[in-house]
Amino acid sequence: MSAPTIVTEEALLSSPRPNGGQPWRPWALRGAALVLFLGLWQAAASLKLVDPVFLPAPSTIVSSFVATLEDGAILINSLISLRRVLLGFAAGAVLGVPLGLAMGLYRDVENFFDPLVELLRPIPPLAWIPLSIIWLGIEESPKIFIIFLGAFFPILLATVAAVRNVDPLLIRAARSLGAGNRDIYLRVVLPAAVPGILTGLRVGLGVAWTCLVAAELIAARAGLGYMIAAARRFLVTEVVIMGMLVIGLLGVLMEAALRAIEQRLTFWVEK
Amino acid sequence: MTSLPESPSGAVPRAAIPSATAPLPPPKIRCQRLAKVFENIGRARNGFAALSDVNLEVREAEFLAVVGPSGCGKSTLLNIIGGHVRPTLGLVTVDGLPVTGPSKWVGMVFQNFGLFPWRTVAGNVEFGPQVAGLPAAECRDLARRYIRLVGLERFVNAYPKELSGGMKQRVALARALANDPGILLMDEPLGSLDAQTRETLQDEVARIWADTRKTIIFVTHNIDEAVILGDRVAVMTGPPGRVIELIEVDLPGSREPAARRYSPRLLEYKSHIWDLIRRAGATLPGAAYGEVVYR
Repeated sequence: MSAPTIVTEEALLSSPRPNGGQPWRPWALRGAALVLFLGLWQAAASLKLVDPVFLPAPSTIVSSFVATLEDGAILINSLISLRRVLLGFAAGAVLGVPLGLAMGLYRDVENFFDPLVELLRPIPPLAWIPLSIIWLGIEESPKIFIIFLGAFFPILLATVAAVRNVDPLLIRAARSLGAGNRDIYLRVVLPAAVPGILTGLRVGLGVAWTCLVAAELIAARAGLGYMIAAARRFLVTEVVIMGMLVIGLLGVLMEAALRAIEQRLTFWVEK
Repeated sequence: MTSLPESPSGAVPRAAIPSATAPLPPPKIRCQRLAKVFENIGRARNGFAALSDVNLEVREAEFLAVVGPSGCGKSTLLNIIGGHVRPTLGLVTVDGLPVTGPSKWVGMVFQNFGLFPWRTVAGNVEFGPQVAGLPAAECRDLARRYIRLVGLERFVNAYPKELSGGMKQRVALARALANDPGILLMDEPLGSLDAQTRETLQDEVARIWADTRKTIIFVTHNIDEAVILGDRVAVMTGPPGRVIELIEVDLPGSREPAARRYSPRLLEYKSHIWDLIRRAGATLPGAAYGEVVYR
């Protein structure tokens, strides 16, 4: 039998602190997971439990990273890959956002394009690789095209949905204030759709980045995807893993950058 | 937002010219035999009759309160007068001209405010003057003036998400007034506010009405509010919505809500309106289906 807990007024009035007053706790746990993972990995490699061709030690990967950093290879490959992704993504945004706006605003435009979109959308960008080689050869354009396809559809669909979901009350309010169609599009629908469009751009960039390696398997002579594929051929496993990690890291950074832009542009959204 | 309705040119008001033969000025707003049937709503195969044969005249600078149970067609009536909904039958005229669509001469205030969340308080109030093409400086001055009128000077640069419900409705009111419309249509504007804020805003609306002499139609389901604010109260029941009685509110003493709120005669009006709605409710089609019509 336990004594009844006496709840003091003080205890009730003091606001409960998140994480029990240990703000470092979540970060400590996150760090612990990484350290544990890397430690086990390093131990397994140092004790020669696995063949280094299959799984090189983290230290080997770090030193190969430092080496490529010194000779500039990683920087050049990253920049080439970034350029491709940004060009493909920009093309996806430049075509996807206006078409999405038109489809969202006008029923006729939507009915016209919808069958085409529904037919092409489920085809994975990678399935386009053979055709893009036939059409565009093996230079930069087929790679950018594949990445464009990856980014385009998420951006298009998100933009259509964003326009559709504009609160009709805002449009009625604008009309009662004397707004014509032009004012409604430019001063109400467009700004109201910005958060949804930005979400689409973020998803589109993510998919574009995912398509990168596949696109760079098309007879590439540079780029992170090429670096991985070439290293595989010579069984330089540490470069394969290092390239993968760099792709992941750059993806995280781009996502963070876009999220920061998103926050700046949609600070007004009521949660 | 699939297909934007066309924006027809709204009714343009012109000064009411008293004719030589009629001693009374013509009504500011006249609704003649309005009926509205919504097609394809829910399971109602043959359409849903929201309004049936509504006749109403509103005088210049009058405060007309419209009261009735939920679903009786009050909002539909207001939307038709505002030009947002086309009547199935009948005609609405403003200053003698038929209403063909929304216009800046008929301002609207909604229960859920409808503020543009990406614009500041000032930006919201400036919206009307901006789409009217006024120069920026003039828009700013107008906005400042109407923001002061509703007492929100300190929040000029705040965004809607930073405001309370009562403050948001003040912004919406200032925004509608910034166009200087002759008519203000208010659709349960205080319906989502707590009781204290509601009373404060009632006083505010009455003060602004007295200051600006707008013609106001104020829809509410709160009988007290209708009697406290209105020159007249139109009692509606439905569906299909009809105006079953127009009551001239004659409370002795001040026109101010604060005085009316505690007038003993308020209760008489209230019980009379209750009776009307209850009696009509018993004969409503909805009542036969067990719908709750004002318990």
